[in-house]
Amino acid sequence: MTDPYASQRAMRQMRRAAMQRGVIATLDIGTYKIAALVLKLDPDSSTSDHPGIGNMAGQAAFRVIGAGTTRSRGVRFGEVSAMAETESAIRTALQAAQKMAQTRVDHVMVCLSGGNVRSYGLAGEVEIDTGTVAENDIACVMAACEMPDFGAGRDVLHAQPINFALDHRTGLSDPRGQSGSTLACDMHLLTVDASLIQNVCNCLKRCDVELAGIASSAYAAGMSALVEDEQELGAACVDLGAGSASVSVFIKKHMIYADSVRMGGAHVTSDISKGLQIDFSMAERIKTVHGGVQATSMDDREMIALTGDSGDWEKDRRSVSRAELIGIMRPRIEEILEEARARLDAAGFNHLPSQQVVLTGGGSQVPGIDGLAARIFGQQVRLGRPVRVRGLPQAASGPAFSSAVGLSLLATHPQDEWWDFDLPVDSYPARSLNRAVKWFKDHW
Amino acid sequence: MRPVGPHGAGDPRRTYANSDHAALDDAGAPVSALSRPHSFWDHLSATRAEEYAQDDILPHVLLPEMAQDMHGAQRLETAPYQALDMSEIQTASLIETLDSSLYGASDVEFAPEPGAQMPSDWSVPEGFGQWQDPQDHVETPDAPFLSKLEDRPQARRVRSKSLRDSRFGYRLQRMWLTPGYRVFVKFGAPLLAVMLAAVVFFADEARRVAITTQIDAVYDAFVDRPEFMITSLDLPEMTPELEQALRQKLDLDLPQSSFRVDLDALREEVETLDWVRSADLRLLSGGVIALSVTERSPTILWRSDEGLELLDAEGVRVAYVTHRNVRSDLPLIAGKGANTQISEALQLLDSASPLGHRLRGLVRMGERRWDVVLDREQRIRLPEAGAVAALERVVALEQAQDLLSRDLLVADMRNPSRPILQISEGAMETLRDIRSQTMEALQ
Repeated sequence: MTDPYASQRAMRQMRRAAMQRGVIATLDIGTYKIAALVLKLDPDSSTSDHPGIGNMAGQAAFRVIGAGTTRSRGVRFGEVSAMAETESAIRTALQAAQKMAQTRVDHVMVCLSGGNVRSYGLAGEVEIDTGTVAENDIACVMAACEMPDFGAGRDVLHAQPINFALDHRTGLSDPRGQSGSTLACDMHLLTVDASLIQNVCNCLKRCDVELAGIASSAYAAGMSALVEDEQELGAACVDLGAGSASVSVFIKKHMIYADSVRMGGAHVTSDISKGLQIDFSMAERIKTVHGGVQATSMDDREMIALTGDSGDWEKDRRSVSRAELIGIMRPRIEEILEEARARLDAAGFNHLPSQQVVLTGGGSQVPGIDGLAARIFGQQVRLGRPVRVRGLPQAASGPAFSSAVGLSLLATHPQDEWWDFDLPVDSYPARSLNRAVKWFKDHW
Repeated sequence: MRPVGPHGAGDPRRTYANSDHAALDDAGAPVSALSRPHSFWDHLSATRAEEYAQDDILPHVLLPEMAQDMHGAQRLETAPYQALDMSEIQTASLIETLDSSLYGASDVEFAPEPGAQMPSDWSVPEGFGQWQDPQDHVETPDAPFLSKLEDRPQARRVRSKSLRDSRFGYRLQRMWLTPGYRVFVKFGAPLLAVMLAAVVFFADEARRVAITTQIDAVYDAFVDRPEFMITSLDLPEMTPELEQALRQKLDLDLPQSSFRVDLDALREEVETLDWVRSADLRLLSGGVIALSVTERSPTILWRSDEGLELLDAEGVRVAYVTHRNVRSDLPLIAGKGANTQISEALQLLDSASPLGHRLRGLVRMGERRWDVVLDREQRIRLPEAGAVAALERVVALEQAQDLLSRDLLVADMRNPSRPILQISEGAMETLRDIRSQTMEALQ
């Protein structure tokens, strides 16, 4: 992972190889679960000659033939904390997916939620000599974007051109072939901790699979949970995971901002566990079964048995009212949502034309969370589920699988990134000529 | 248009205070240290399962959660959260469900309870009927399906746990899912093993011999059945010499199996006999082999360097003859190459028939032309072309002037425009005498 451009290009090459083989796996490494989907790519519909993304919003190009999910081990806040445990969990998920698909998978795309994602907006501008924008000019203008100092130990995860401007016209998605004299470009750059990527690479290498791409889970969740007009008009996707809540902002079908709050459903569970003095699995269970954020008078009368097998009769036969449970859960969930709101405010989300917020992820299944979120984010809040994909098992179609499904959309229809364009070639000969002249001047 | 403003995420003033805050909570730690008394899948996607259970665009993975939720949802009006309480229910996780769907769920029989009945106002998708509402059966713990439900996932989990988590098991599964390897194990290796076993088995000479003798014995037992035996040879009426020759030639030691008789080879052997123009062998019912033969008829005798031969009209040898008197009825020809011109010889002999018994035979001269040989050493030399016409001329002279009765040695007709008669020495002197007498008488 020394040169992001080269390594990302290598991953794109892997993805292309997987496309040719026809089978690719997507792996969502989360804090609570690791989900693996095996996709069978349908070459007929992906190479269709009609314009646009094709049938069923492009989802006809693949089919899910295998799905495997396992409880995540050794992952905290979406980051690898115990490598051997994580590797074993990845293996388990991949193995189950391969078994269901009855095929062997060699190429895997991964999405990650941790690693302190940071979002940068870059701008670049070049003069066009020929008067017509060529492929090379696109590469030039992207190379002209001034790279911010994102610090040592950070790696570029996404670098997507989101807007092109030609002279006085802006909002162009594809300026190639158009005439003009000045080409400007806005680029969205997403960086994560290099160590996280390195760890994931090592994990997958030890699982005997090739890494065909890495994506941010905030991006992947937005791709699958936001519907097309939300992506077009502007919306924020809040992916409430177990270890972190990822926030991504979309407009004009491009992600323009991503961030994450390092709190999630696991913290809620931890609060319950601490507050009610029960073990973690029991807390997880009563959270998912009886949890909520809006207490009513009925909830005072509904008692939840806190069973256990500690041997202490009194301790094993306690019970708690649902209102108490809600009283524990609600502050934490509010805190998470407010933190996400703070991130959105920092990004200038309130300046966008549309204020739609979509909640997805496993945490969005808490009953009543949409009402709570409406108080924090404003009225335009809805709960998002991943798009329906052919062959996806019923069990893997819940909101907890938004990023896994979104990643499979990305696997078949990747967004153009910086590394999809060749490096500008024309600058190189001039530079080398200058160097030669300089060398002669220096030595003669 | 750049909504990521100057206050963007890269702003160094924005410290990630919450990450510290979250780390202080230390909430993530128990996640990796969880035990799993309940199934991991109990709660995931259970909320909207009923909604999606109606759709059939997906291959149905029949999850117990759905069935429970459907029944639970109905009870929701009265007891909203009791219905979802699954503390007493052991359900299969996704993986176990997939396992059972892959390897046949038939080993777990869910016999419908006689007392259980489905809600009447519900349209239940097909396949859900076999899942009973576990709530109904909590009171009867000896219900057969419930005990099985409790046993099965536990047993499977224990069995596959070691394999599933190990790296070796993972690699083993990947290897097994590799198409080439799979084909090799399924087809290549058994084939190889069978071939190897065959090679090892047949490497021993004694075993080979034993097997071939056994095969031969079975073959003989079949072939030598009385139904297939030939008992007699049926020969048509023919010349006795030919019949004797044929019997010697065929030499079948009857009775013999028809499988061992090669009729074609036998026929060719019969046709090698000079006397036989063509032969026809056929196997008749009742174990009879019938032979029909077209004989060659001898038409002429030919004396060559090799001896005296009988030829048919085509010049093919029918038999050798020791003496001319054996077939004194046939005309005689001689000379090298005479056998190739039998038809012309027969024409000449036909033309020479007025000469009667004086004719001795024809001689082929220099493989080119014919001489007619008469008794008293008389010869008629015939030309190469138009031999029959020349001979007829001589015969006409004989009939008109008794030419051949005179003291004539050779009638040379080789040049048709100038026939030459060669007479004997005595006749010449007599002619000279007559001429001198006439000359004297004239003088």
